[in-house]
This record gives sequence, structure tokens and C-alpha cells, in this order.
Amino acid sequence: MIRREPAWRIFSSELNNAVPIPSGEDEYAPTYVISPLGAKINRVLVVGVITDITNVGSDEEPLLRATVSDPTGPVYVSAGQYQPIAAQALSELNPPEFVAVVGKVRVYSPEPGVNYLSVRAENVRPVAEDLRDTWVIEAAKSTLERIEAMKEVLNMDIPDAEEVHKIGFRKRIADGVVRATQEFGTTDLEYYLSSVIDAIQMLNPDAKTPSIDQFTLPKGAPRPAAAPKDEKIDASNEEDEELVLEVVKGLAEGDSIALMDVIEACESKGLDKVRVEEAINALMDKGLVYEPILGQLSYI
Amino acid sequence: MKDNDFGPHLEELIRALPDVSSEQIEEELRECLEVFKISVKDAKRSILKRHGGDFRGMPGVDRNIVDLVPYETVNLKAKIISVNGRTIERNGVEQEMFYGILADESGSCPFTAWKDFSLEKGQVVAIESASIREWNQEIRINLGEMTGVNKLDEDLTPTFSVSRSSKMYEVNDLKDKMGNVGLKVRVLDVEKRTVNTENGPKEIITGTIGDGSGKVPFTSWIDVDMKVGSSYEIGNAYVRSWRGVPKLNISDNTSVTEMTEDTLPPVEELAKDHTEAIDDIMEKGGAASVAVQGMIVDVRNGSGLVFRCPECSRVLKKDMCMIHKKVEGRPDLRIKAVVDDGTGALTAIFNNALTEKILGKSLDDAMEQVRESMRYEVVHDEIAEKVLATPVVVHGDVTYDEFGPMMIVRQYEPAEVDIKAELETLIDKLGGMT
Repeated sequence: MIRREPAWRIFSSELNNAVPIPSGEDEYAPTYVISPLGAKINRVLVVGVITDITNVGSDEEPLLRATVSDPTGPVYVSAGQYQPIAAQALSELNPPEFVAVVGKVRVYSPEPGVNYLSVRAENVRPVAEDLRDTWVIEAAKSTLERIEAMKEVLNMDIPDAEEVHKIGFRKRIADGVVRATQEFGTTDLEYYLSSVIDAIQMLNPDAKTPSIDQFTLPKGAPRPAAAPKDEKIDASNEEDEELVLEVVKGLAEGDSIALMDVIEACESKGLDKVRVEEAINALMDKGLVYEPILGQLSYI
Repeated sequence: MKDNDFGPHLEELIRALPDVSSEQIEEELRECLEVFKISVKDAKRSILKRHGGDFRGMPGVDRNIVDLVPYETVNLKAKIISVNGRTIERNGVEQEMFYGILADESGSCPFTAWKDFSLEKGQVVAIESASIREWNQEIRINLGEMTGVNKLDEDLTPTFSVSRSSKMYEVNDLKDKMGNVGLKVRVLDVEKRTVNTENGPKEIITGTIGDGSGKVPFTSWIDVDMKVGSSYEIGNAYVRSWRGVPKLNISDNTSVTEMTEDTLPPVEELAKDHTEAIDDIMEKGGAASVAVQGMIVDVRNGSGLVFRCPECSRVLKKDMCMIHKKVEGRPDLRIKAVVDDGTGALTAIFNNALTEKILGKSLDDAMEQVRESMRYEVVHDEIAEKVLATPVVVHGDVTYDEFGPMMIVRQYEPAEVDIKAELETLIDKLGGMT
């Protein structure tokens, strides 16, 4: 039975904390990540503001990387030679503008416990602002549904998907929240509730939303897995960035240097390509390096 | 089986076999049912036979309809709520039979009469020695050779429990292969049609019925009087699906009783398509006349200008039909779009007329455009440009087969979201979670 994977509407705050789950025996089986609130994701729909687009490949074999921000944070999007339609559409955009991106979630794990998530675009379109607003509402609804399902699970002695389904949640939500508790232990519901409240405030700053301390959330042990993981990502990101910046400064010598050379030099220092690209993107965001011409890097 | 469960059957046997002690009969009945575990019907028949009794013509026991249990012989006083006749063929002989609904002050029940008792709708009758049968988990009153029917010159106020043994469902819950289905519905449209069957042309009734949960097409294989706008209680109907689209079937064994009052919404409201989540539709295996609200996330290959075989309408590949080989293709426009609502995704097929509307150009214009650009894909590209990432509501039946869920779109409109109202709902929901 062919069953196309649905495109989850999910905030970046939740998506970026998802972890890959082992795929089955079948090599053609879709791969999934599971989010802390139990979204079992293969495909996503992200509608937000595209803030930058970079070609980290070559002119012949472009690999475009872009950042799309929703009210809760950024999502990294990529499109290369195997996604020609999406790559073409991405290259025609002029950031910042509102976009819709449909694509599959890819995970890069340079070491156990460290996961870099990105969305490999299948289709990219510029959209109007009201579509972004609609998306925010859909994502917020879907987040609240999972928070409610997760509350049920956290109150159970033994997590049981069948029981959660009986309460009235869809099977895939029930299965997902139970799976997430196996993966993450307890989940910081407060964090994701705050995301929803932030998103509502973004749409209407005058909205009378309850404050986060008004909620009674199931108390479990504070999330053991995810909190230190976040720090680790940040720490390693900064180390990567420092290294890359050093390399650029060393090689460019006041002028510019080919992107490929930077990647090669960094690789020889033990940093792989994806992490180099992540670091370059971050440095560009911070304004520490820039591309005077496509494929060339220079520092400020 | 507990003692009291075969109480009426035991009494009946004791009455039918006056020469045998009641203890012995009870012992034998218990043995049949609890040790050998044969059916009540077979047990009674075998015990009667063993003692030289006759099942048929056994004096009936007085019963109210609500108390009927299978394989009893009973006497009833009941009102004929409905009666229909038909001719059946039995062992090569044509025979008349009648069926309908009987009701008394306790309840109602379908009946079958195997001979003509001149039954008339509305008549109150005293029935003696009718046998009670169970069919499809539904109880039926059988009037046969041994049954006596006397017309009474009195009236009674019937109680309707038309399908008391049919499980009551909502339309939205109907799935393939369900039997003994009970529903309370309003008729949305109805039409008499003639279909060709093995036994020649047959008149059937088709239409759509609905309740607050959704609507479903139906076919009646019998002549029932169903009027648009009226509401009916249906008992013992069954469901058959075609590629996941359910259809309710009304047959000889189905009871259809007009309801004098109901709380169902009016026709105009029921006729609207229910918006359903794609995941829920897939869970059911398909759906009839629904609306799906989602975003067009992909325009699949095979969209745009296609050429069809003039014989079979299959889309040609390289001017060749799979079946009819090289043919002169007939041009057509269509869109195969993927509509995704976050819970699932389905393929939505837009026909020529809808595609022309979306493109804002006719088939001829599209042909001209292809001729000028010398690229067939130009139409596909323009469609993608127009519809990708647009929120839509599509209406139609959703079929579900090995290629996944699919809808031949009957109607579509842009999805309009009232962001202010949705925000209010969200904030209320959040408030409810504190």
C-alpha cells in the first residue's frame, strides 16, 4: 500500500529537538525522527520567513542552504542537484520573504547524541503573510494536541498507546507520544507550551493568553536527555565556528578564499563538510564572514 | 447458558410433550445445550422427535413483542405497521411472500409471511402459533402454514423499536461489510433507476441519506417509499464498499419506518459535505462525499495536457495506449495534485473543466501554448505555479486502494481561514488547559 507521508506542521523549537529513530530492515522504508512531544516525522511543511540563502556547493553542482524562521526559531533547509525544482525555486527568492517549504527531514549525527536537523526541500514557494499566520495556527493546534496527549502519558504508570487512543487521540498521535517517552524520558511540557504562547503573541501582541505558571503540568524528573544535549550542540557549534574563522583568516590573508578550500582545510583539521557549512552559515549570520562573490569567502 | 435462559423453551417443550415429566425434559434440554452445545432450535427439534412430539402446530405461548426470543412458538396481538409483497422462486415454483413490520405496545419487529393472509397496513391482528426465528442477529416473526391470523376490530398504540436487535450507528461510522446496521437518517435525494441484472431489468431506488455525522449513498433493492426531507429509522441494513467508499444497502430483510418526529438537522444542512481529517478517512478505509481542507504540496507528473485513447480513455504514453496501441489521442486537461492536511495526504484529481477554471484558459488555449513553446511541460509548470502552496477545500468521494487515498474532485474552493476566530479558539483552549 502506497501511503504518502503527511507533512507535519511543527514549530522549529520542537522539530530541532527531534532525534532519529532506527529504520526497519527494509531499506526503502521511510526514515523518521521523533520529536519530544511524539511527532513521528518524515516530511514537514514549514511556512516562515526565509532570511538567507547560500550556495555551499559549486556553480556546476549547486547545494543551496537556507534558513527559514518561524516564531519559535530557525529551520535549516537545503536543496541540491537532486532537488532541481526546489533548488531553482530557492535560487529565485529574495530574502527576507515569506515562504512555504515542503520537504523531508534529514539528520546529520557527527557523534552519538548530537543531531543536526535540516529539511531537504521538495517544493518551495513564496507565499503571502496570511498563509504564514494560518500555518502558525495549525502548528499551534497540533502542538497543543500533542501536549495534551503527552500529559495523559506522563500521568500513566505504564505508558500505553492503546489507552491514549481510547481517550480520543488519533492512533499515530498516541503511538508517537508513547514512543517519545521511551526516547526522551520526561518531556519539558512547559517549554513547548511557552512556544505556543509565543506564537500566539506574535500573531496578536494584545492576546490575553494565560501565563505559563498558571498551568499545572505533570511533574516528572526534569528532562534528563535533552537539556544537556542542547548545550552540547551550542558548545560544539562555537568551537566549530572558531576553527572555521581561524582557517578563513589564515588562508584569505586580507583577500578572499574559495569556499571549497576552506572546507578542505577544515576537513583536514577533523571537521566534516556539513559541520563546516553549518559553521560558515552561523558566521555569516553573525556578520563575521561574507561572500564577496559566489563560492568565495572573506572575513570582516 | 443459565437456567433461566432456556425458561420459555422448557415451558414450551413441557406443553408440547404432556406425557413426559418436566424434570426429564429439563435434563435432556440441559444436556443438549450444555454438554453437546447444539443450538436451541436443534435441541428442541431433537427432544420433540425423540418423544414423538411435533414441533409444528405446537400451541403458542402469549408474548409481547419486546419479550420475543428465537425458536419459540408464540401468540401475539399486533398492529401491521407495513406490509410489502414479492414473488420469489422456490424449487422452480413461483411463490408469493410478504414481509413488513409488526408492532404492539411493547415494541416492534419485522415479519415474513410465507402465504397470503390478506394482511393490510394499519390492521390490528391476533396471531396464533407464529414461529420466531433469528436471522443476521435479528429477530423475525415467521407466519407459516400452521399460523392463524384473525383480524381484530380494535386499535393499539404501537411502540417502535424497529431495529431493536440492529446495532445503531452514525453514518460516519459505517464501514465495509457491516451487517445488521441500524440508523436514524433523513433522505437528501432519491431516484428510481432500472438496472440490468441476471434476471433481467430490475427497478431499484438510489439516493443519499444523512445524519449529523455525515452522509452516505444508499441502494434499495426493494420498493420502499422514501421521500426527500423525510426521516426514517432503518433496521438491519448492510454496508458494502467500493474501493473504500461505503454504500448502505436496503434489502428484503431491512425495515424502513418513517419517523413522525426527529431531531435531525434539515436537508440543506445535512447536504453539506463534512470536513474530515485525511488520517480519519484512511482509518475508515475511504469516505463518500466529504470535504478535505489542506494545502496543495505537490503537482504530480501526468498533470497538464494529456492525450487519451479514443477507445478506452486511458492516458497515452508516447502516443501509445496500453491496450489499443497506436491511436489518435484525444487531448484533455487534468491535475493530479497532492493535498496534505498535516494528518495525511491524498491525490486529488481535477478534471478538464476544473483545470480550465484553475488555469483560466481553455483546452484550446493550452494546446496553442504547447504548440508555441514546443514543450508539453509548459502546462504542468503553469499549473504548479498557480496551485502549489495554496490552501484549498476539495469535495468528493475518497477511495482507498493500493495506490493510496484518492479523490476525484467534484468541487473545490480556496480555503478561507478566519485567523482572528481561530486565534480566539486557540486562546480558549489554552485557558482550558490551565
